[in-house]
Amino acid sequence: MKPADELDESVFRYVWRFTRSQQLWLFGVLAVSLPLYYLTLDLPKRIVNGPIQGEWAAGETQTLFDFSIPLPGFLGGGEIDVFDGLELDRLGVLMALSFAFLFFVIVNGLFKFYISTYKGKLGERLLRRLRYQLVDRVLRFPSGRFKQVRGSEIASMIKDETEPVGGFGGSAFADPALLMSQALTALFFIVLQNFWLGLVAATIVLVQIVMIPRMRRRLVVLARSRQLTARILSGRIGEVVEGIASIRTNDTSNYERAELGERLGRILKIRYDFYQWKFFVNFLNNLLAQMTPFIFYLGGGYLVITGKLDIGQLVAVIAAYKDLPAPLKELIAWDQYRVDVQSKYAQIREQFVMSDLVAADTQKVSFDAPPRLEGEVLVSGLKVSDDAGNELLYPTTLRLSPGETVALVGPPGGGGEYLAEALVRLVQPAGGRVAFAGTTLDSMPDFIPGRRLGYSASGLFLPQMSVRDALTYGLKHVPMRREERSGRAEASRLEEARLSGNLDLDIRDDWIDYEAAGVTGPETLPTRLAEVLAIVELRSEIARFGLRGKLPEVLADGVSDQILSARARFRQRLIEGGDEDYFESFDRSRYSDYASVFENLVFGTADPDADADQPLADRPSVKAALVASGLDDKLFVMGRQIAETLVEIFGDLSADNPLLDDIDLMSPEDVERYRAALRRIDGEGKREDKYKDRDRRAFQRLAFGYVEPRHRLGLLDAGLKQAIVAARDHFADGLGPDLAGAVFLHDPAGVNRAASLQDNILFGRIVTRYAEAQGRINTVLAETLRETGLYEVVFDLGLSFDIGSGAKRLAASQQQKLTLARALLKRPDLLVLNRPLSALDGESQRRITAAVLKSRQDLGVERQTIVWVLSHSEHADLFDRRISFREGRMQDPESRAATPMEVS
Amino acid sequence: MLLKSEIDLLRAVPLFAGIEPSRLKLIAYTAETVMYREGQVLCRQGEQGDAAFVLMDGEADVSIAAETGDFVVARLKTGDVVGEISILCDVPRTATVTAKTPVSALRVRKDAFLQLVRQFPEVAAEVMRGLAERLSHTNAELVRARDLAAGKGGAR
Repeated sequence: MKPADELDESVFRYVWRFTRSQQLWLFGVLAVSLPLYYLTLDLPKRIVNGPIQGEWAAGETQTLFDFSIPLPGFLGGGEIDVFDGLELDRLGVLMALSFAFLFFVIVNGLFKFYISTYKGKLGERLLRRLRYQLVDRVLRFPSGRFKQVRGSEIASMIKDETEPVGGFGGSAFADPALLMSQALTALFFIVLQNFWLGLVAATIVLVQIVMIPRMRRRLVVLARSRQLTARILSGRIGEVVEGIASIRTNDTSNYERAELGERLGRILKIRYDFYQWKFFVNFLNNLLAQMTPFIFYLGGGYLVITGKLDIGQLVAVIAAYKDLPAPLKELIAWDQYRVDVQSKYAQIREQFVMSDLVAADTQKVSFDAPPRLEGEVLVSGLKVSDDAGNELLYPTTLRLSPGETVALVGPPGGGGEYLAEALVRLVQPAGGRVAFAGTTLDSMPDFIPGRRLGYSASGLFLPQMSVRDALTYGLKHVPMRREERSGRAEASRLEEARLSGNLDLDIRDDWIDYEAAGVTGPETLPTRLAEVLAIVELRSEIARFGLRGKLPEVLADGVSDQILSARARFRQRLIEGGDEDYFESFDRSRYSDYASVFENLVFGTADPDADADQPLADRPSVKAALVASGLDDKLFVMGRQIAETLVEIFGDLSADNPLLDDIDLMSPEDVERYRAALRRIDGEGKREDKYKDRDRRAFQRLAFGYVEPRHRLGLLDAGLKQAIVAARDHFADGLGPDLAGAVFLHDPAGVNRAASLQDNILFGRIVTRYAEAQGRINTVLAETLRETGLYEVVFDLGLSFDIGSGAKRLAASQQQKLTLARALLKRPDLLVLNRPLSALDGESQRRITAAVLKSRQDLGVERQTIVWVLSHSEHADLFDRRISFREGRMQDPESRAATPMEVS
Repeated sequence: MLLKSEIDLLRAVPLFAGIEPSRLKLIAYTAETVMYREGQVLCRQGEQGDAAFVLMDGEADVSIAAETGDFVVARLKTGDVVGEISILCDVPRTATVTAKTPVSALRVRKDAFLQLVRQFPEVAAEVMRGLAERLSHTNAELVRARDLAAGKGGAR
């Protein structure tokens, strides 16, 4: 008996093994549909020969649709009449037969519809199964295998190359059966009508069947190399994306272009070759197929003219033949498909079948809590070698007592890191073994070391997810809290998973093993997360993500109210602390000095990219408001003054002068443009009307960005400020469609979704004129958060921060802290850390190392054993024991192991 | 404070006295005004400096930490420039500057200051002159201190 997930060598056997019963059902349906198909062929002949051309005496009638079952001889012979038939005249017969024809055409069509749907579903299930099996195998690849494969190639195989195999699943057996029977029926029908014409047709069919597949062999070879080159291409593209840093820093982008171009050229050549052959073969095939009607017209026509064949028969033969090439062509196409799929399948299989695949049982689903690995850890004669057989770690023997903390020191590659990897089964030892309280690590199914051992190293990959998910990833082994689901959707989900041989655990359930983290449930988890993040000094950074990041689309109940009350509390605290000079709250009735003119005008903020899409000054509702409030001219004049000053200050600097970056209101390239605009205006405005409006908007744009305390040009007087504040009313009743998404209004009684939590709480501007303002406001904000209980919300938002693809939105040091926190969170019996903080400075490393060692009390795992490969050997004094490795050898074996120091 | 009044003030500062008005405007524009309350620190000895200050209003003490405690080496008043050594030489702040009264200062960022020095020889010359003056003052102080140490100096 083969294992259930075997990938058979032949794609036929594979398809048959997993879809046997469905294929048999398909056969059955096909068998029923065939007589109907025959009837649609036969009826036209009867219609032509009967009511249309037949000899009918006036008033003559015929009996149609009589049906009787003949009885075999042992029952006495004779027949049982089921239906006596209908007596019909000539027109009636024509009508009856024609409608019967229509009926059978429809039934035939329905059958076809059912069969193709069924085949499609069958194929899709097979595809799901195959992809799942391949993914399953990737998860079970031996560790060494990952050094040789490229992720994007594997992805291309599983995603793209399997696709035709799935489609083939539906047509592997049914298609040839259907097409063959159709072709045979048509052929049989032709033979029935006229033996010789039938023979001619059969001969040509035979030639086609024998010759065409032979010519297609070359196509198979081409298809194979097409597949291989395409796969390597995706691998190479993956490498380019991963290696973009090296490409940019070495100016090798053109080397890569040339290399990829060369590859694409090779692919083009193969594909072109392929198409040439394909269409040549098609041409031959079509030519052969057209030979038969030629013979029919010539020979059949001759027979009709000489009276040896009646015209009805010839029409029927030709009609039948019309149906012959189609199935035949499809049959040949199917054969091509088969060969193609077989070759693709074989190539995929090659990559996924290996003898040292991790046994499926090792990774089996286990809902049982694994036994604790509490006893002594015994490493005996452990040896690690690389692929070439070089010794990375010479046979090493040592003992780790429960609760001991051990520092492994030595240069990179000294051997400590291999011991660490072997302890968590990341490398397969070349000899010796690791045993936990007498049980060898090798013999354990994944769920024991996977849940009882913790590991972190520098450069562990983090997929794109939220901080929360990244932290709890180490707790998700099986769905711990399953939601009861019922109804059709759930039934069909389970049924489909079963039919495709997929795991039926539901990803939507709560997979977090709260008990392993030492908490009771989802309510208490955030506290624990905060705790582990604090140990690795990542907590305040995560909170900052929550504070500065955009608010989520959906806010939890009550959070809006909390934000608003924090806003009020913040204001109150400012006043209490005598810091109100440092801050300027937004107020509908007051001009905000530290906000720009535009922000004051709309009483809101503008999306920084909005002006580039369409100048804000040019948007209809802004224009209308300016005109209505009489600001149109005032702001134009103001912008003009700004332009004059800026052009005067910066105008004679060369374009590449770095001081130009300080202009702030306009970009360095704009200086010349504004100079020209100023000149146009100083001349006569009337002459160049086409510029007039545009210039006006450009000057207004300058005025919009103006912030008096920053730019200090003295352009705002009380009257102008008041006019701007008064113009706010034009935007108060909601924004026009031209400003939607570009402008967000301040709402003293609401939360602005486009702003960060911090901006929502502050609801105003820091008076940056005071040097201490920024720092003081931050302090008051932090105090407000703590006091209003919003800190939890901030932290929660921070936990939802998306770390980006490959965690690229986090600094290397943050990534390392995160994976270390993840290992701490699962509270393992043995914590193995392999230079986990290499991206940090020595001082921080020491601080966090000490905190991790100390954290065992707080996390309730006093007996946790810790093995830490240190980047700085001087930190070893924090540990109970220090073992140094050099050139793959342990330097002071077991010397101090006999008397492990007490854990203080 | 507005640009115009800043420029007027700058013109009174010896460092910028010889610089033509349009340059002065550029300097004022690229700088920012900051205000300090009494007792607040403009820059602290030992920290990295990222800006120089021109006092526009108020008074500030320059003090240096010594083993015997902080001692004030200078009292700055309107128009004085401070903090340029740290950004010229890329060394930590050599002294602490504390506001004695509410202070308003023009803060010239390091990169803008260096650009000014680099691009306008007149600014560079002025900075040099200022430093040289301070050096000669320091030399005189040194001589006086030596004399004092040798017991030859008279009472202050």
